[in-house]
Amino acid sequence: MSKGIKYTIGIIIAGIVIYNSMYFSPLDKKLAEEHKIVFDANSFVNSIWEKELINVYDSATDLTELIAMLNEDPELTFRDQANALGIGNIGYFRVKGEGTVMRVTENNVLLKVAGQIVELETEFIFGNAVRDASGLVKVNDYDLTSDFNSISESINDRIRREVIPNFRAKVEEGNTVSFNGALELNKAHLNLSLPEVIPVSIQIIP
Amino acid sequence: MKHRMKHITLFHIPFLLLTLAMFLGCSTEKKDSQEEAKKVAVIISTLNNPWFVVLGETAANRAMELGYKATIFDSQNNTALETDHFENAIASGFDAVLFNPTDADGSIANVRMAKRAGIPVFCMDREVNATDAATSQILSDSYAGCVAIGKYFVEKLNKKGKYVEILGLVGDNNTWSRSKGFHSVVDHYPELKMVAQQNADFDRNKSMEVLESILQVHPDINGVFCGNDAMAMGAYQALVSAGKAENVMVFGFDGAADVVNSIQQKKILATGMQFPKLMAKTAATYAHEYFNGKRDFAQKVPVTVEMVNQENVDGYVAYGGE
Repeated sequence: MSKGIKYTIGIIIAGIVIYNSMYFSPLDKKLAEEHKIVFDANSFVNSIWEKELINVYDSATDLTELIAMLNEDPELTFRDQANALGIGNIGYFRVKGEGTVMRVTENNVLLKVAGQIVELETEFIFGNAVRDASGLVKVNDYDLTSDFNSISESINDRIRREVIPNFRAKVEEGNTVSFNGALELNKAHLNLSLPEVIPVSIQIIP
Repeated sequence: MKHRMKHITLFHIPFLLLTLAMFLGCSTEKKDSQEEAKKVAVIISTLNNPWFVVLGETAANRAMELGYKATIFDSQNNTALETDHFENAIASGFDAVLFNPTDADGSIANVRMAKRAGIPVFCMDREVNATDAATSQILSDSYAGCVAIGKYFVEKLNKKGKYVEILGLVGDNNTWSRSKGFHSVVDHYPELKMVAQQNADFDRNKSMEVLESILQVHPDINGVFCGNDAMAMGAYQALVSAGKAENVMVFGFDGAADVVNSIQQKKILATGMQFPKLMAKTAATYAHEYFNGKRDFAQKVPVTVEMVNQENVDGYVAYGGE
């Protein structure tokens, strides 16, 4: 066998070996595979929605009472009433109330609740307020922080789909509205002038 | 048999005495070392970013305030160098590690190595993707912080426009927590179009170069969301060079001094204020409690992030103060 043929066969064999020992795939696909979420947040949220989540919000503190407590002793009220995941100034409260619709805007509905103007969010239903105010879910029950965060996304998604559209379609100025929801407050920068409540349930009272 | 035992005992008397002397010597040495201050290693992902310098120095200072010796190691964003630091810390007899990991997956082996050597590891700011390795992980709630920034971003851009996202290190969980928190809001607005998403490794110069390249293809962007403040400053520099600083809104994350000043000067719109000093002090305090016998630490301790923006910047100081 001539040297040329030997080299050609050698190069082909080497080529086959190298080709089969390397695989190319897009970086974003690989990263997505590594961050694949196995935990099914939607199923989890569905399993706690009625019996646990709605239940704990039914026993929320009256918003007017909470504001009076915060004005009197913010430190004690944060300690006794707020839920928080770890260390820091931010606390989440479960609140309920009833008020008159003052104005319907693009992003929220302004209510007058016993003399206090309250912003009922209808657009920016994001973040961990509803999950964390509930006190039902603990970060250390989840190995992956991304799984824990996906619970909030699922809760917020359900509020956006099931709670907000029906309310937005019917609400008008002058309506009486009752609500349960979550309120995020910052202990070090406490501002009670316009509390922003993310609703978990809303009812227009005929 | 009795005779044989006696023979062995007599034969070994000098060795037994020698062994006893060595044992006593070791015991005395151990007692001396126990009386010496315990040593705490502060291993930081990079000291090429002032935010991490604050984190590392605060951890070391707090450890020294508590009566320990502290040494800071710089991993230079290199997991291999980080491994060297862990090996050195173990070989040099450090008693605890206050750790800011380089890579959520790549750093696990280093934490486990310390654990096998009986050395507790307290993660600061960044987590490792294992809940059975570190003694405790004190972590910024980056996701929630970036949800707040995402809402502000949507409001300021009035729900429409083109934007660029500059990511940090692809191996760091904070990079993805921040990105996911931001997108959990922004992706609900179809008229907000992300024209480019690129990583710049949390580095100011890389961010500037990345945005300079992007601006050549997309000169009409309205906003830039950056995964940290160093990259936000780099992005702002790129916009100044391109004469677009007035038209493009820049958002960062960290609460670094230059960005808090830039928010006051309306150069940068907002940032997520993390609390590096709080995290560092908590980690050092946990190490102190560990030395005093405490073992039941929560695996993850989130630290809240607060948005600093045009409306509230006067109430904040860099790095959360203290």
